[in-house]
Formats: sequence, C-alpha cells, structure tokens
Amino acid sequence: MQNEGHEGGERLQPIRQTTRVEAFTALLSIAKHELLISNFRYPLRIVSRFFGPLVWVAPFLIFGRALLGGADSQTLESLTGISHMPTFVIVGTIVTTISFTMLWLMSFAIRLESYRGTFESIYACPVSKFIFFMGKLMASSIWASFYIVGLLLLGVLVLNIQFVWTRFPEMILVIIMLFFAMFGFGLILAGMVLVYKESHTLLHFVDGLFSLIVPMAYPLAVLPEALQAVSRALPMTQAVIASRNLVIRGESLLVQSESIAILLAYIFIAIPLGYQFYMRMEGKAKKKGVLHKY
Amino acid sequence: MLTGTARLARELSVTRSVIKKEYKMWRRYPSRVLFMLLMPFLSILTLYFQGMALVGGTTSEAFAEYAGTNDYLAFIIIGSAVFIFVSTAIWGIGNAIRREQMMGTLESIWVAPVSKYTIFFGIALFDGLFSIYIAFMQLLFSTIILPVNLVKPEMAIIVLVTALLLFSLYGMGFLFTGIVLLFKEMEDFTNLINTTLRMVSPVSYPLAAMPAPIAIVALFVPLTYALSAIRGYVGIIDTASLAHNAAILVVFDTAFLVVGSIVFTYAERRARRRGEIATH
Repeated sequence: MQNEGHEGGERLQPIRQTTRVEAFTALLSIAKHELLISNFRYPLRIVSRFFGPLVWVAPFLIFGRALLGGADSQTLESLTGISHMPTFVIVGTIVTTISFTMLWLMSFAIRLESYRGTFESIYACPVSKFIFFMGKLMASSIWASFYIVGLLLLGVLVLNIQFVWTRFPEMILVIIMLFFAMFGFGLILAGMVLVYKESHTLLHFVDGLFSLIVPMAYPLAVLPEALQAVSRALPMTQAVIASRNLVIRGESLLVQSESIAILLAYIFIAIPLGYQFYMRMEGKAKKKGVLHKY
Repeated sequence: MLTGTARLARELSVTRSVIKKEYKMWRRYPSRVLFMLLMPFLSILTLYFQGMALVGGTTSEAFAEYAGTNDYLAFIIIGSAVFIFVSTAIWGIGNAIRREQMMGTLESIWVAPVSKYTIFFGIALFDGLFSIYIAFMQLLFSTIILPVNLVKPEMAIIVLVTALLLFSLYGMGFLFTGIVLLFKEMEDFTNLINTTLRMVSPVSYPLAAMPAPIAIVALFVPLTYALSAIRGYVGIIDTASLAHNAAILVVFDTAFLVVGSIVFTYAERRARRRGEIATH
C-alpha cells in the first residue's frame, strides 16, 4: 500500500509482511510477557497460580474419603473397572485443570490487556492476532506443565496413585492434542468476551458448567443421559476418558479411536471456526466502539 | 457539632444509599444474579454425582462414622447454603474497593464526608440480605430436584446463626480490602481464598474426615462453628449446644473485627501516602 497524498510527493514505505522469524519473536515475547511480567507485577497472582490446583482437587479427595472411609470404591469399580478413587480423581483433575487454565487465559487474552492499559499498544502492533493467541497458548501450556508436575507429585507422594507409567508419554500426547483442541474453544470465548460486558460472570459459569459435566471426579455413567451426550462431545471429556484408559487401565493409544477422532475434529474444525468467530466479534466490537471498554 | 441522634440518622441515611446503590448494580447486571443462583447448586450437583459414583446412593455408613449422620446429601446442602454467606462477603466487601477502582468511582467515594466503615456496613448488610435470598433458593432447588426435604421452618436458624457469623465476615472483609489496597490485582487471590475457605471448613465433609493439618486450620475458621450450630440445631448431627457455638462465634467476631480494622487502616494510610488509592 502507498500513501499518495503525502506532502512533497515523498512516499511512505509500504507496510511489509512480517517474516517468520519476526512472527516467532513476537510469539515468544507475548508468552514471556504473560508468564513473567504480568505475574511478577502482581505477586498475589503467583500465590494463586501455585496453590490453585491443590485447593481445587483437595475437596474431591476429602469428600471421597469421607464417603468411603478409605480409598477404594466397589461402586466405582463396577462402573469403570477402576476402584482406587484418588487415582481416578487425579487423572481427571490434571486434564480439567489444564483445560480451565487455558480457557481463562485465552478468553481473557484481549480483555486483560484493556485492564492493564496495554490494549492500544498491542492492537497497533503489526502482528496477526493468531500469533498473539498462539503466544498466550504457549504461556498457558508452560503453566499447565507446572500443574501436571505438581499434581503428579501430590499423587505419588501423598495419595499412592496407581499408574501404568509406561503409558504416560501417550497421555502427554493426548494432553498436547487437548491444547490445540481447546484453542478453538478459547477463541470463541475470547470473541464473546469482547462484546459481552459481564465476562467474568460468563466465564465462571462456563467453568462451573464444565466442572459438572466433564467426568473429573466421577464417571460419565452417573450423569443423566442428556448431559452424557453433551459431555461426550467435549474435547476435555474425551481427553479425560482417554487418559484414564491409558495410565490407569494400561490400554494403548491406538484403541482410543473415538477420543482421538473427536480431539482431531476439534483441532481441524474448531480452530478455523473459532478464529473466524473471533474476527467477526472483533469487527462487531469495533463497529459498536466497545473494543477497548470493559 | 451533630448530636448523637443526628449522627445516627446521617449514618443510617448513608447505609440506605449504599444499599440502594448495590441493588441498582445487581439489577444492572441480571446475569450476575442468575450466576449466583446457579453456581452453588452446580457445586452441590457435582458432589451429588461424585457420591453416586462412589457409594451408589445418598447415604454412606463411613460418612456416619465421621459426621454422626449417614445422609451426606443433607449435610452438603446445608453446608453450601451457609457458605453462600461467606462467599458473598468475600467477593462483595473484599472486592468493593477494587470494583470502585475499576469503575473509576473510588476517588468520589473516598472524599465523601462519611465514614468508610458505614459504607462497608451498607455493603455487608446488602450482601447479607442477598445471601438469605440465594440460600433459600438453594434449599428450594435442592428439595425440588434432589431426594431431600430441607425447606422447613427450623432452617430459619441459618439466618440467626449467620447474623452472628456476619461480623466475622465483616472483619474478614476489612482484611481483604486492606490487602486489595496493598497488592491490587484481587480477582485470582479472592478466588483462591474462597476455594481455600471452602476446603478447610466442614462445608462438604465433616471435620473428622479431614487430614490433621487441615482440621487444625478449620478450628480457627468461624464457619466451622456456625455450621456445627446449624447442623446440630436441625438434628443432622450431634454437637455442642447452640449457645456454646454462639459464644465461640462472638469471640471470633471480636477478633476478626479488630484485626481487619487494623490491617485496613494501615493499608489505607500507606496507599494515601504513596498516592495509590485509585490506581490498579
């Protein structure tokens, strides 16, 4: 593009496309900003990040112990083939904690910049929004790996979890697939947050609803059939089911075809759809003049 | 110089205005009310489904050994109904300053010639009334959808006991408001405090089932005694007398109010000195 009307006939340089290296540098900068700067600026957030997963999982474990008077449940075994309650809950918690962390970080990616007063600077950068969101994705995946390590340590050192460790790398593969599958979800929520004022309320509600229908602390079989159908269509449900089959029952990844198919469908369909939806919502927010407002 | 009666009338007028303002805010965002109605119920359902998966019903003999009742569902519904008061207080009073900061109205409120404590009292009172409504709706939803009946006249004890608990929460609110002034960024931390309080209190499980370190912390949380008083009164568990628990709550009320006020006063002075009252 050229600026024809510039004084003295001097032409401005055309805006060039950013190179891959520049895009990658931007991606790393966004991830670094999200991981280090925005957290260390607010020390209370660091405390929340570290203790959050622990206080999230503990009530389910203590409640389970109160009901069973121990760690094993015959009812759970008859429903799932797994009797050790803490092992069952820890796998569910690892997957759901990652999903929820990512949903929050992605959907608030733009809105948080408004709060911080950095929205205009970021918006004016010649970097595609896709790169911006990928940077957030990278940050959330690093946070998530801390969570996985923390919850596994809790499981091994305190709860005596019974894993088939040889299948653990396959579970990591499922979690990586979940990351990309959740990316599309995150983009849709990020778009909604741009035009919807009470975004915290919306996200807390989505969080609460997913906590109910994703089989984190109980199997799908105890949910009413309609909720089971909705839950089966969610990527986090499929990741929880596949992960349990892998590391508790010792099954191979190759026989988790339903879960893998749904996760892949989310990766290849939800990401482009989510990005389109986000861009449409951004256009709508621009037209209404509410892009930077909260 | 105003007389005692005139001062009281002025404070009451401020309280009324604060309640009116809070009511208007809630009406402005109806989705927030819907959220408040649904969220506690979702957490009850989550535990209900977990119970069904572990013991296949709504009673458990192991639970009876810890709690004195095998009806875990009634136990957690009462716990959740009372926890609504705690949650509303933490999010309400604790985040009041932050909310005004975000809305850009904090400076106007700060320079108004009224006591900050009266403003907080107004917020606490509104939160208390709002919580009664939400807690009643929880009991109603639970009675309609789940196999329990908890809409009974004796459940009014929840209001009386939580009225005693409210002063501790009020003190806790001062404490959090002070923390907001000191550290800013409250959303994540409030969420953590809320979840932690739920974890270390006998809301969903009895004290005896908690690991020892958590049970020790629970002894210093006023909610533990409020829940014990309520569950004991409605006949769900055997516990110390209502008067005994009420006396403990009065001690907590005094302690939390004193500590909360000290932290808040310190934080306010520090924020003023550094010119950080309205920054976030």
